[in-house]
Amino acid sequence: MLLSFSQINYRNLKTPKLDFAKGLTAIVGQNASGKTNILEAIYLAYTGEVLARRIDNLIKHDETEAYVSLIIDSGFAQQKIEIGLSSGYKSIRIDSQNMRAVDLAKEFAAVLIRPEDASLVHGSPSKRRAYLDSLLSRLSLRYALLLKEYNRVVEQRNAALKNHTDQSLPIWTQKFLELGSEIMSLRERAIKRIAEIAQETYSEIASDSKELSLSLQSQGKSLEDLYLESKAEEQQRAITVVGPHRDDIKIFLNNYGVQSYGSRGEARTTALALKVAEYQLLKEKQNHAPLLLLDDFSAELDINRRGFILDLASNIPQAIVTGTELAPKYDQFYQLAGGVLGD
Amino acid sequence: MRYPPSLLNLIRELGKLPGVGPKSAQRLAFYLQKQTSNDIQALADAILDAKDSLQQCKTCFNISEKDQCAVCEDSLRKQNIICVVAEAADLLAIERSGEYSGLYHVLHGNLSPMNGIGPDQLTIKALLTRLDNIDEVILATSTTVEGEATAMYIAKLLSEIEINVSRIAYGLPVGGDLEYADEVTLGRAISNRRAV
Ligand SMILES: [Zn+2]
Repeated sequence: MLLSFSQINYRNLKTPKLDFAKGLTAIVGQNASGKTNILEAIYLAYTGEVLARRIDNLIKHDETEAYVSLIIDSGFAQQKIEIGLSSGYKSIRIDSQNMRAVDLAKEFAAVLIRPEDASLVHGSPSKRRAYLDSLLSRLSLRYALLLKEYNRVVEQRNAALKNHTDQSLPIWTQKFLELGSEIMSLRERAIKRIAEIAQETYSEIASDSKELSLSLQSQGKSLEDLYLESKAEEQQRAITVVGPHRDDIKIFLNNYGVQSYGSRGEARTTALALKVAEYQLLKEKQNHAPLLLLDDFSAELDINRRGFILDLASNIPQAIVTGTELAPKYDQFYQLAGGVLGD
Repeated sequence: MRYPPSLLNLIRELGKLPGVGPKSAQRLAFYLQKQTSNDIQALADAILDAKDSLQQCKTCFNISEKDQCAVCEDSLRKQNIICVVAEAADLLAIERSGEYSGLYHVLHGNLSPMNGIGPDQLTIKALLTRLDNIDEVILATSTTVEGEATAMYIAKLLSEIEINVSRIAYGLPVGGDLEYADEVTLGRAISNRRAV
């Protein structure tokens, strides 16, 4: 359970410290009052994931460093997570020991649900890959390390493709096929579980009795075949044009693709179902409920989705819910005004 | 206040050293400022002297003060086995483990197309000319992506001739660098090498 959050120079936050308790904590504030920043900072400390384009964007204007720390009660002991941010660089410490982001995922889990999640469905394929990679990296240390190696191999392979005198290309191709295939099979297994949970959630929220299904674009094909088919394009463009870094999740309702033919409402419900799947899978892996960070519930105007998500938030051990109005049920609340806190 | 140009220059030069980030470079620069001129001169002399008197061994490309390094000169070492490492520092790390008494070959890097390093930029061709009386080649590049690719590349070349090729069996963390591995781990890694 999250006990407290502190920060120095994180964006334009004026709140140095916030205490939390179990149950639902509501944070009320106008738009641009900093409530999203608080949730993103907490999410950063739980996962090591920087949601801004650059680390520098997280540091207050005119400052060179920022700092975020959390105190978490794990049930046995209190642990302290600290994140240091400086130009282009992020450091992670748990109880004063230097750690990697993958070490955070061993013990801590949080899920952030935001209004812009809808772009998971109608945004570019990179959004869906990022969803999959973030989730799988937190579920499996093996996946996290594989992905890091794979991305490096693709980078090296692309450089070898551009330099025609480099004789090492076949080795990079071999490595690319080896690591890429393993990532594809881990993703394929995961997408089945994600689909099961998302489907259940979708029919719980929507009243349309449509069937949600998910699959990888590459499903049923081996990386080797994809690679052989792409050779002409690869030669022409001198980059690796197939593989997990180019894959996509295809989302269907009954038989039509939600990405192209779904309504806005269907897209939003689908995105929410994907986030609930993330929550459930992390919960299964950790054997305890992740912290739920729900950003701006009041932006959700659909009565079914709003009801579902507030229900979820009030029925789990700990949730932090922000909004321009107060959540209907809460255990404690904070009022934010222009980045400043008052009760 | 802005740093004076000479101090900035020193920080920039120190920051080019491996493993030295901007903050350490700054700390080193301030430290050096406090030393006496004699101490600074001794440091500068040591750097230049090492640069002038050290060269690469003509056989294995280890660091050496003579044409042949101490390892290649030592006729008591096993002459039929070569351990291939990326850097001379890795050779020293393996020597410290005390588990190995054969010959070495220093590649001077790993394959890294991003940095313009292909097989021709390493000492791989010279390795191939040394294999006449060799029974085993141990590939002891690191477990980073680049170290693995380099080992695979050499293993492939050697698969065409009759020679045992083995890969050092690391109990090292993935992405681990040889130079920082402790002696016991490294010693075990060499004794437990596996054929490729
Ligand atoms: Zn030598």
